[in-house]
Amino acid sequence: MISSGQRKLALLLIFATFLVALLGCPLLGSTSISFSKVFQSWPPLPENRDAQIFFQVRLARNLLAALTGAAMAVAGVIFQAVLRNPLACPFTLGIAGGSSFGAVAAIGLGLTAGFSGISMITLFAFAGALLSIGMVYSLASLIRSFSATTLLLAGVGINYFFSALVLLFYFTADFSQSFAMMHWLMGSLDVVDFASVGGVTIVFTGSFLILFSLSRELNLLSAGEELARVKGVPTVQVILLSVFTASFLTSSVVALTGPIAFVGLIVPHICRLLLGNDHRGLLIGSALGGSTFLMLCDTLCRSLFGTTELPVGVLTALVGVPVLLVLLFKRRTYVQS
Amino acid sequence: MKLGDPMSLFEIQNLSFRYPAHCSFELHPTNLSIEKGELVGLLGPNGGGKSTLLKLMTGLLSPQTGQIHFENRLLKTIPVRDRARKMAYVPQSLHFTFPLSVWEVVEMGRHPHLGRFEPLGMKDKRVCERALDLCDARSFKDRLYDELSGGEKQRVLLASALAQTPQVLLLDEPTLSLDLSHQILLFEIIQKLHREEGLTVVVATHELNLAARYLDRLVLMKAGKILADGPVTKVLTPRTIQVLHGVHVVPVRIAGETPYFIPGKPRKQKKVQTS
Repeated sequence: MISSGQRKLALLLIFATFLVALLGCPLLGSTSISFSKVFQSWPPLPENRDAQIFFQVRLARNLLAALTGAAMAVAGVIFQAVLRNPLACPFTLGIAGGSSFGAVAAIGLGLTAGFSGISMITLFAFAGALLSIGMVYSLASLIRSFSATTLLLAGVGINYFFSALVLLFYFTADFSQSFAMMHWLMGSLDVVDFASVGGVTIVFTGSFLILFSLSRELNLLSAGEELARVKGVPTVQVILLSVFTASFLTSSVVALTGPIAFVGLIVPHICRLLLGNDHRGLLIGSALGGSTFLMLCDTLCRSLFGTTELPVGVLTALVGVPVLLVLLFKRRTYVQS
Repeated sequence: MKLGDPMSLFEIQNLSFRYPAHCSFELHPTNLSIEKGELVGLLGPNGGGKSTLLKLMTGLLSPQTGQIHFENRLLKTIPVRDRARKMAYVPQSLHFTFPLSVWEVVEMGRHPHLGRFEPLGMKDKRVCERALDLCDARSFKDRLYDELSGGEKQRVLLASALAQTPQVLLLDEPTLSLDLSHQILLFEIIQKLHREEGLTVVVATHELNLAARYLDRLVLMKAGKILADGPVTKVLTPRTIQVLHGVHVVPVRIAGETPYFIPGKPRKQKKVQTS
């Protein structure tokens, strides 16, 4: 059992790490730049090479990494709480499958042209994600049950369905298309501009406020729908609102970056160990922790092999899994299946 | 009291319920009224309909026919939040996928009283502390709920219910998995809550002797029907227990008015019917 003092300290440390990563990560990469030179003059002069790299190349990408990590981790916390399942993640309702299907379809059909600054792949991926949520919702309403188990099973089913369609497109694609598909499926933060960062910021802020306002309901729901109801929670409404807010948030991010694995599963668990399971602290901690984790992973991916980039989804899994296992072995009692 | 009397707290009329699909249990049309300030036990064998009736009274289940009025309002028209301020339900057991501390579990009881962004105030904390005190659970408030013993868990669930500052307390087999000393402790707490805090209490239980000793009124239930309803001394007799449990019991009077019932050898049947 962690005392509330220790929890506050942990939250403070996570916040400090977040700030360091937010400003420090853009300094690192295949070309190293110095912090003092970046902020030599304000506004930065056009001939200041370090400032150019900092602001025009790396800052937007770092911000996208921060937002993506935060979104995934927050959505992960929500799905775990509402579905009462430690294995639930932002993709449990079939969003990974749906968005992958959308993106792969766009690539396979040769729709690469943009539409007012947003690529067709992004639009299709977003539509695919919404389609999968819609299908899960329809399935649940068809059998008139919005319980955790129904949503979980429907989500897993839909995900497999879309995965099969992805494989079908992949099978019929030519060489360059299949490379583009694979690249998208692995998840990457490299195609980004400030406009999409702005869009994601708005979606994230709105979603986070809604979800944070449901903190107490989420505590109760994670103890069971029956208990939540007798303590005054309109369970169906809260389940639907939180699940669909988290899904929408995930969809918006995944449409840009592709399904980045494990952040939404591992970061919430690490935060649960450090901060406890009360959602008031957990949601804030997971948002900060998720963004820090992804900023660091992305920076490593950019810098490890010179000019060649490692797909960030590969690294998140490689780094995240051992970290989680170590923590689990240190505190074995924290999750009861 | 008569039907629709303004003092009636729960007015249950013609209530029936059936679980969906393959389940043979059925609550047959039931009438029951519970007044403010009563201490009632729903007594009967497993599968008799005690828990079902209790869940219908909390609104966790919806009846197929009939209706429940709570404080003269149709129960299903009362928003869950308003219900939770007036009545608290203590489940048989509770399992957390992600463990919470005892204090966090008790804090949950304040939910129906707090606004959306309102943090727990000093008043709420005092209510929670008092709830812990009443249930003799203050000493382990910082431990994890899942690490407690069965008796401690039940008291925490009860404290969490009390944190709702309800007028009615509905308990579903609170002593099911407890040893004798904890069963007695729990019933003593329930009695104290009724006497000193003025709570209306409805307990589903199959503990004959504890129910007889601590409760005022008993509703005997078997196979989804109410067999008898009234004061303990009138309702609980060797004959009704024979019907209820199919067990022959012998009443033993030690002190006071309520006898203890201990299982004895069945008497030889006096009349062997011949045809």
